[in-house]
Amino acid sequence: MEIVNNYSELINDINLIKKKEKKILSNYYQSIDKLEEYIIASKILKEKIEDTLFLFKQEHDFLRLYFFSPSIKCLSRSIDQLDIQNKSLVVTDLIGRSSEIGLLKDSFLRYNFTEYTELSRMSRIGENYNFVTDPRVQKVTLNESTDLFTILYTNFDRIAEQLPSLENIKNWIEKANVYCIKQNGIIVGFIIFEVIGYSSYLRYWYVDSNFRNKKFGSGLLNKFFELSISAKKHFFWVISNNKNAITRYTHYGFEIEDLFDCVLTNKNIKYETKNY
Amino acid sequence: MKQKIIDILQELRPEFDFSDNSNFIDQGMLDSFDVVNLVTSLDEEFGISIDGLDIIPENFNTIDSISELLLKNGVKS
Repeated sequence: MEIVNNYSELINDINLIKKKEKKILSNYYQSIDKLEEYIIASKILKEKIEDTLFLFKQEHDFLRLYFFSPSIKCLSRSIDQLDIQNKSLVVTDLIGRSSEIGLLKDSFLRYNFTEYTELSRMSRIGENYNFVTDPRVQKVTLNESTDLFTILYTNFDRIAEQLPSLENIKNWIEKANVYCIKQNGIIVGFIIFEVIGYSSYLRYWYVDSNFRNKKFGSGLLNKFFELSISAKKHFFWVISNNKNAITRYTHYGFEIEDLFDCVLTNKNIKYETKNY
Repeated sequence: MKQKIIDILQELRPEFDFSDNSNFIDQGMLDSFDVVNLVTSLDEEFGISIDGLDIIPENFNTIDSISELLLKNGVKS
């Protein structure tokens, strides 16, 4: 693996693959320029095997893997040569409809990756919702960003749930919607969401287990509905086998879509046991 | 071609009126995952294979930009 030094180097590498085949197979779904800040921070590594380019993005204490390959056949051969077992923790996400990710998933599972967990996207039509404003819900301040960071990393899964960095949290507090409920000055529940035009994305919703049954969760969710009033659709990703959470979201009108995120790792670890 | 594109978009996100709107990405009518699904649907419907490097927001922001992408891939208008 070597560090990607600049953005144009990355584009050149991808263009070389493009020359081989018309189509590029990839699990990177955003604009390439979104990687630029990570390149500047020397957090993007690359490994070229045959005609496949693997990118490794340093996140927390693991590497998130993206691939660019001309075909599934070539990708399979390249994964085989990746020597993945001797690398530190590597995580990769395969996102798509259930009918589309099967072959890709098989390619990874064949060569020493294991399925960590799967997430499903849920959505609901943003119809009028009779939200009730809960006076206990307040905006999180920048001074509380470290507290929020700690709660997130203690209670959410860093491998599966795409946890934000401290910088991301600070940005969200300034630009997005981050609300909490406190008890004795301590955050015991929070909600983070983004409203982008006609769509609203519920990112994280949490209530400390010691403070359940006090309607903190519904108070926070009502804030989400209140401030998402202009959105025609609300989205949320949930661990597919978290039946309790799915039941809760279904209660609020969310339905499971045919869009899944299959999370794979190079270690034999599972979301349920968190044996890492 | 444009009507077919609208039909596909409508199937993907029935809550929006794509014929009367622009800036689909900027307005939150499509997100990166919708774009992935849209690309699959366009590939199937028009028998093409959209290049991974063309999967950028600018190519999916309007009916016209999607049409241009299809034309670039050899679809006849």
